[in-house]
Amino acid sequence: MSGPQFRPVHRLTPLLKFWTVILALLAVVAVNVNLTVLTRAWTWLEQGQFLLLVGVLGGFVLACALVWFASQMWWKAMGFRLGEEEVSLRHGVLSKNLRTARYDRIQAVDVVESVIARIFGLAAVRVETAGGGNSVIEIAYLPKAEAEAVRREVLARARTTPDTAAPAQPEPGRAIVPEIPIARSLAAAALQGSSIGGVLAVVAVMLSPLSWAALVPILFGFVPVIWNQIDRAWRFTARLDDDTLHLSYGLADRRKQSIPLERIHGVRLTQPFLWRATGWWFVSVSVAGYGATAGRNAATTTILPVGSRAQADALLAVIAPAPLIDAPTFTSPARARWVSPVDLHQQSVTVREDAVITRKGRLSRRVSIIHPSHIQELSLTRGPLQQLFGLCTVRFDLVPGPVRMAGEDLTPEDGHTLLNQLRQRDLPAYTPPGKPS
Amino acid sequence: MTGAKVGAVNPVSPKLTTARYLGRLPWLLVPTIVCAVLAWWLSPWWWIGAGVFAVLLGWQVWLIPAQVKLLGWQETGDELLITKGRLWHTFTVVPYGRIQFVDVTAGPIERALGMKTLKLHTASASSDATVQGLPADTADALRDRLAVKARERMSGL
Repeated sequence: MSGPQFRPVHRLTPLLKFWTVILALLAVVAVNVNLTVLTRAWTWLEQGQFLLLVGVLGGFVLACALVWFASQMWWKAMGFRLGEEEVSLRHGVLSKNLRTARYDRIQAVDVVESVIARIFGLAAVRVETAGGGNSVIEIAYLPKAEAEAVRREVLARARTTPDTAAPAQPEPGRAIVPEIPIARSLAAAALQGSSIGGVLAVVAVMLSPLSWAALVPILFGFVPVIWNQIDRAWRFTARLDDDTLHLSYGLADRRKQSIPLERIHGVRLTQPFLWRATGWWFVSVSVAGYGATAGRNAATTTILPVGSRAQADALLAVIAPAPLIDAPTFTSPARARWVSPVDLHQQSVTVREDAVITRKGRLSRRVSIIHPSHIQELSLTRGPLQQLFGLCTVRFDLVPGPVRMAGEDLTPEDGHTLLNQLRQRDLPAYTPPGKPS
Repeated sequence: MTGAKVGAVNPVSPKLTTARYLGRLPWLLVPTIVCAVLAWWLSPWWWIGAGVFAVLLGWQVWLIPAQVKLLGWQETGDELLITKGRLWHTFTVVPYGRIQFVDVTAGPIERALGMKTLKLHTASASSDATVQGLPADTADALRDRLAVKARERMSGL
């Protein structure tokens, strides 16, 4: 398949990919160059054994040169191509790899600036396709401006019409969520249950006769969670350009991410218990093709890490035009208190023509919204307790993601009514690959 | 599930009970016997272990036929319905248009008894649309029909 030539990535890429290894090697060297080694070198210098010294230094330089030479070989083998119909990435010297993805299968395109890349002013472009766990094409590393350009180009090609008129402005679209103030992201993280729990655990250990070493596992447990929350909310902005949501966020790794609105299936609004005092909400979405795993480098499913109800509503208006004021259609009967004693009066299902809404949570609130056509399968389930009290749950099977919905603990009549009502839903038309979607 | 619907679904092969007995009971039968032998041989305390395993064995002997009796499938105009489960009863509705691909598998025990397992894959990860213990020819015929229907009614995500 002919097309444009493979374009090179940045020269330093192989070194940066293994920067942890290189750093470790340097650390080993630095640790070993202690006083004895230095004194021995000094005695050599005093005794005029320059040859030895030159030999050692030469060996070091030679090793560096070898590493550089090898890295250049790998660098030459790396390359990416934005072809007519697909984006390709090749790499590998000993075993050659070529991964390609058709533009119409692309789910999202992100620019990721990891810490090490940021030092050198570089960035990576991650192209996410629908598929299992490892279905990402990561074009790493490019100078930042080029990475932005590549991302725009891939996005433009992935769209049906190659919109040549698209202005190459750095911040496209209108802002829906203006930059979240740093103080608010910190306060929001502090008011999370995990942070409070972590602080309480630390205080408990310090007051107890346990040794302070007991703090280590606690910190290992809580710090990454809290860090993750702060990181994801750091200077977060969301902008809407045409039909794509552009997110930008991150403290350690600054990321830019684009989610096409049509790929968004379900939306979830969450309010942790302590956020009720401040009126903040958290909004996340299930995106077709993102998968369930949210690894460190995976794309985020959070479209509002912390924001007012008005901001959450503004996002909702863009994604799922469904006001949340309707009275619930189905609620749990009183006898459900034996199955769900806490949530009984909070769990409900609202069925509308254009949306299904489920609510739950007494302490922390959760509202999930989905268009009926995006429900993949329906399951009516009854556990042992539910069979005892004559209840059933209607589970909506959705694409993997943070949004999980179910009509919990309904009477059998309500359950069947809900099931049959949703079975009447219209499925969206299929757009075969290659045709504009 | 209301009685009317259970009556309408197609049952699976009753040989599935045999297959599940063969697949699960040895894991309980062998420890029961080992514990009993040890109790007779070493110390009567082993009778406790033997008792526990025997109870689990009895439970499985009762549960498996009950599960198999509740397993069923039915084709409607646009959907495949699957019912299963004794303790956790589920009734799953899979629209043909959602089917991404279909697996037909047969393990060694199933093959010896002339059965196959049909598994539907959709874009959802949370559901388990599996029909175990279909007679081999029924499974193949159903697979072919599902393939046609899935193609005819193919829908987007």
